[in-house]
Amino acid sequence: MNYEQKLLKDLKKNENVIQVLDYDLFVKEWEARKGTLKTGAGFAAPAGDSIIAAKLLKEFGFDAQKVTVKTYAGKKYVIFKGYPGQREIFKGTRYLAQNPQVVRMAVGPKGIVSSVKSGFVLSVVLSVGIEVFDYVIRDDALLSELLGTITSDLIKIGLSSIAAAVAGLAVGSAAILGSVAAAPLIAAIAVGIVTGLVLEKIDRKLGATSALIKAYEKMGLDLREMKYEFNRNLNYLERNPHMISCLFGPCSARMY
Amino acid sequence: MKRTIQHCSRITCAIIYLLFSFSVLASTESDSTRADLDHALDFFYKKNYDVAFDLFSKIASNDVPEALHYLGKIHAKRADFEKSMHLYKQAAQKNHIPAMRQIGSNYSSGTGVTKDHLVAEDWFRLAQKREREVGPTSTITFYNQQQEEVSFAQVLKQLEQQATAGEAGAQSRLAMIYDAGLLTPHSLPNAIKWYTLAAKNGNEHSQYMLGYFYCRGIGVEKDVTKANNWFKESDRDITCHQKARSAQ
Repeated sequence: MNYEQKLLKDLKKNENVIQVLDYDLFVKEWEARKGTLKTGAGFAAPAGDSIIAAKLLKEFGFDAQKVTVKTYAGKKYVIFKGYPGQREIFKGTRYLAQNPQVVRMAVGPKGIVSSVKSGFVLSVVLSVGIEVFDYVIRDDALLSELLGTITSDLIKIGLSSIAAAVAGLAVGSAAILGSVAAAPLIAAIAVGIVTGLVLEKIDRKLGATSALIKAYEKMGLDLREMKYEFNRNLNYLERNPHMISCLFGPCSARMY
Repeated sequence: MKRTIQHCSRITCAIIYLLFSFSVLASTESDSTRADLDHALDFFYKKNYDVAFDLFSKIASNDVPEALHYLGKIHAKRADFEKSMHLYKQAAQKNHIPAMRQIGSNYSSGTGVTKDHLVAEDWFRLAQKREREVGPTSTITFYNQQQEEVSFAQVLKQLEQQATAGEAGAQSRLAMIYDAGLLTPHSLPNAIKWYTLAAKNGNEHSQYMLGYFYCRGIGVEKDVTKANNWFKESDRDITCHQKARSAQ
């Protein structure tokens, strides 16, 4: 396994997939298919939209970990996240998009040194217009509900910058985002189209991870050398403690 | 003379030292606030709201908008929407962008307020305006399909080619770019031009945006009939009234 494959493997351990459907079309899809589904509990029960959506998803045979219904620009959307490791895509046969668009983002620490374990991958599968991504990614309440702690990393990268980058991306192209502020994070974003039912080959197709590697290269970091460089610098400072002040600005310490 | 120079340089040194001390103190203070916020955020995202509440309350006593925003979120988790909205508005008054977006979101869903999509959009646009003033918080580098680095001017050119060829999706994205004003200078005339073309090509989001612009008279002359026609086209249950209320 090469270093790139290792990076991908490490990032995939912390992968999140969010799917976005048009609520009305989702209900239409259910109505059109309810004859073929196992149960027919109905959606007219006096329950909240999110509960109804979760129930219908289950009837479709899709096991979602978290389901919510959000209204953006006067339209309702079903937004859900599968269980960890679940890479299955929910697709419609009649009303929902057959080949949804996906925005895939690989996030890693900017000063990657010894491990990429703090990185993660986020895929947003949109069975709706890509414009909806703009609302989804800027909704920190939704993100925190679905993604928990990694939301703070997305906020550090800049939700508006992520939305702006995606607006400029065509299918197959990518963008790299480096946080301007002190946040030590870097993100690579790619946009593509899901043709199968699983996200298995999506990374090779979209190249979000390879874009992240490119970002590291651009910063002058080579995955093979990172751990080595880190240890070597630490050892050097251990041997030359008078040089520590040089880490914080110009110094007059002489090298021995 | 030499003594005077020495004396002066001592005074200069003292001034520089004092200025340096103040700047270090100031940066330490903001750094410590940031560290306190990060500590509180950690508890918030781990859903330990009680601890997060205490920590945010302490920070909020120093009038930190981000802390007010998160206190609002915790009140919302406890279903006290009135208090949460009050805190969001306090944070928004201090130009906190996520609070403006949260207020918009509450108007969209009718959480703690009467549902009003137009007022929601007002708040989203206020947040967008503030985002423009602050500028992007990340540097963005674009790559083409061959994984070669390309300038944003090239990205824009390609998008314009697709939009000119009549692709509704590209027209809508182009409109959003000009409207957001983060990658290009903000240009409402350009935004409206591309929203109009995309709307005529059936892009629902652009139809909705045009409905909003005509209802509010933003970039176009206010026209309630046109606004409602576009809302109808966009498949939204929204009506523009002559005296529609706004976020102001």
